[in-house]
Amino acid sequence: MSHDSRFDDELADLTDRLLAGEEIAASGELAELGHIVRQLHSAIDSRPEAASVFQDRLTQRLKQEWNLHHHRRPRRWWQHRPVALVAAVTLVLFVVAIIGLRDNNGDGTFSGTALDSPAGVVGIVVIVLGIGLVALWLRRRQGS
Amino acid sequence: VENAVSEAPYPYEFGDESALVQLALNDLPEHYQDVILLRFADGLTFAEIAEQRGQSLEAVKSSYRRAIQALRDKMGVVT
Repeated sequence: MSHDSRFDDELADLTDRLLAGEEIAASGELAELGHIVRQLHSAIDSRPEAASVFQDRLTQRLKQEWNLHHHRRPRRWWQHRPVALVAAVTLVLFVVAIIGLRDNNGDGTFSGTALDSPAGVVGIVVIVLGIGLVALWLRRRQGS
Repeated sequence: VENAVSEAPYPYEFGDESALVQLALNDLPEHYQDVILLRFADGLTFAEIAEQRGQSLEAVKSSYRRAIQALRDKMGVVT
C-alpha cells in the first residue's frame, strides 16, 4: 500500500469518526486536515440553507450524468425493427420489379443471368429475405 | 433599472467561520464539491459514494483527500 493510499484511508477513517462525534488525536498533516473536516462539518450543520444550494446543484448534475450515461434517447420511427424489416423487404421487391421491367429480351426474361426465369427471381428474393431474417435473429440473440 | 437579484437575506455575518468554509467550498472544482457534499450533507458513506459514482473505494477516498487539501489551501487564501 502506498503512502498516499494509506493517508487516504486514515483521513477517511478520521472523517467517519469525527462525523460520529468522536474526538480524534492526530498529528502532522492529518491533524491539519482534521481541523478542516471539523470546520466543514460544523459549517454544513449550522447552515443547512446554504448547503442546500450546493445540494440542489449536485442533484441536478447527478441527474444530467444519469441521463447522459443511462437513459436511452427515444428511437426514431425508422429505428423500430418491424418498420426496418418492412422497408428492407419493400426495397428488395422494388429493385426486383425494376429489374423485371428492364429485361433485355423483351419477353420478361434475361439471357445469361439468374433472372432468366420467374423461378430465378423468386429464388433471389427468398435468399435475400433469408439472409435478412438470419441477421435479425443473430442480432436478437446478441441483444438478449 | 430594477435589481433582478433575489432579495433573500444574506445568511452570514462578519467573522462567521462557516461563511469562509462555504466560500472556499464554492470555489472548489465541482467534482470535489460533489464528494464532500455527498459525505457531509447527504451522509453517504465512502462505499456508498463509490457505488453511486461507479468508482472504486480507493478512487473516492483519494478524491476526498484531494478535495479536503484543496479546501484547506482555499481557506488559507480566504482567511
